[in-house]
Amino acid sequence: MNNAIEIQNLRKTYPDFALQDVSFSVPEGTILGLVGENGAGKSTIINLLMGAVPRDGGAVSVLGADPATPAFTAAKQDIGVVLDEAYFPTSLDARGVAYMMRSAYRNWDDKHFSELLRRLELPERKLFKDYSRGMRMKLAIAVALSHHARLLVMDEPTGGLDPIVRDDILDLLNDFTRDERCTVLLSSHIVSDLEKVADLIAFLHKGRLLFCEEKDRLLEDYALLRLTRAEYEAVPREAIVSAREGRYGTEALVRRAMVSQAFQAEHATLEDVILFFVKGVDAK
Amino acid sequence: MKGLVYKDFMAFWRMGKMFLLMLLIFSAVPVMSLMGYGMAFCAMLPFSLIQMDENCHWGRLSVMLPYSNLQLVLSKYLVSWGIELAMAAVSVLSQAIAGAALRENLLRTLFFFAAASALGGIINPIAFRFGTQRGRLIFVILIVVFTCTMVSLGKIVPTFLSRLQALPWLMLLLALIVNALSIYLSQRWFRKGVRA
Repeated sequence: MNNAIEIQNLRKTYPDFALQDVSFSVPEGTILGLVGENGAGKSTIINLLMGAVPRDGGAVSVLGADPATPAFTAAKQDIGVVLDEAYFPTSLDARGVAYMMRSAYRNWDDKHFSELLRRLELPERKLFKDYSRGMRMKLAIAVALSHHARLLVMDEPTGGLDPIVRDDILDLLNDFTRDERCTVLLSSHIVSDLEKVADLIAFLHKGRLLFCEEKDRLLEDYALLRLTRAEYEAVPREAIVSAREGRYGTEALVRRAMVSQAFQAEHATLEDVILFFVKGVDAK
Repeated sequence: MKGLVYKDFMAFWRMGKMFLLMLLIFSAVPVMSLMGYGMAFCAMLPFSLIQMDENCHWGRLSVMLPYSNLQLVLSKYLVSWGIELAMAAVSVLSQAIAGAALRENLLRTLFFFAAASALGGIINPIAFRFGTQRGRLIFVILIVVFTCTMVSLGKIVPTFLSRLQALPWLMLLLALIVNALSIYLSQRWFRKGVRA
């Protein structure tokens, strides 16, 4: 399987933030969820992937092209982009946006765009400045899906949206990846959204990649233990990812395969895994 | 490219009916000094277009679309040149109706068109690089320096320039040089401005 995105030791330093040696790849036909708290470096990675800012080090390949080279302008034809806000000119309506995009993307599909407008119940002739936030994000996604892209790069597209609109957006993503050549990089700090659609999870914390794993494997590999202090002492140290003291004892995220069946291991959600990686105390 | 020109033209169109009305009055009233004001007004147009882009953060999205830097900056120039040309045409027509001599009418309009275009050429890279807020301040400083220089020169070479028949053509040449340099700088500075 080819990789739609490959990142090796990617580095970028700002005065108040540094992205440090991030490496991961996104195989074609998968949805990678890039998760991390605000300021973890998700948007920086997307800016670097799209060649919007120059990198300080490392190697990046997106659909086989290096974003730092002029050849990447051609590769952008196959990439749909949705940012945290739909930054379209406020003087245009949906038809105007389509007119503008038709001249940018050689595979622009007016028929598909109209279908998406109908499906998402977006008015064609209402000015973009009069759209609600949900409508704006839906329009951004309709645009990103209307030029037969092979890769969707999305930076917090569901942030601040109500659950119904979020669900509509996730449905569109699922439809998009029915074609096994189509890939999605979806950055979000709404873990429940990623849990619904992502195949892979890459977790960023303070500019470092803590893990990049298959979602199902993460959920299989890790488990939660709720223990008394004495029970906790009996758990092998190498099995414990992190632990925290609660009112009723100790909670620990453990590697399921390393703990005895005698312990009542509970299913860990993606949110549990992430919270323990960030907020738990290293038990070793 | 066509789409970008459309976007900028629509931004201009929706900028306000007052703006359009003023441009029409400046160009249609057959008084040359008003025409000069109108052209200076037009020269500031890309500034307003860039400001509208800044307000909706278009720059952040545009650098991720399959447009080159040249295309992204050139649309601003094309729209303002187009509007300046339209103004010039209206002005020539109104002067002709008012009975102005055709050759003189054309040459004066050419002078104002070229001057406006050169002025726009100076403004644009500044706005792309520093943003419209800081750019406006830099532009005001430039205008003060330019005016002081012209006043000083006027004392040294009185009436020389005003009698020079080739002045419109010299201004056109200057506008071409300034705009070529301006487009080069704008496309180089465009991304730095978006990041800032």
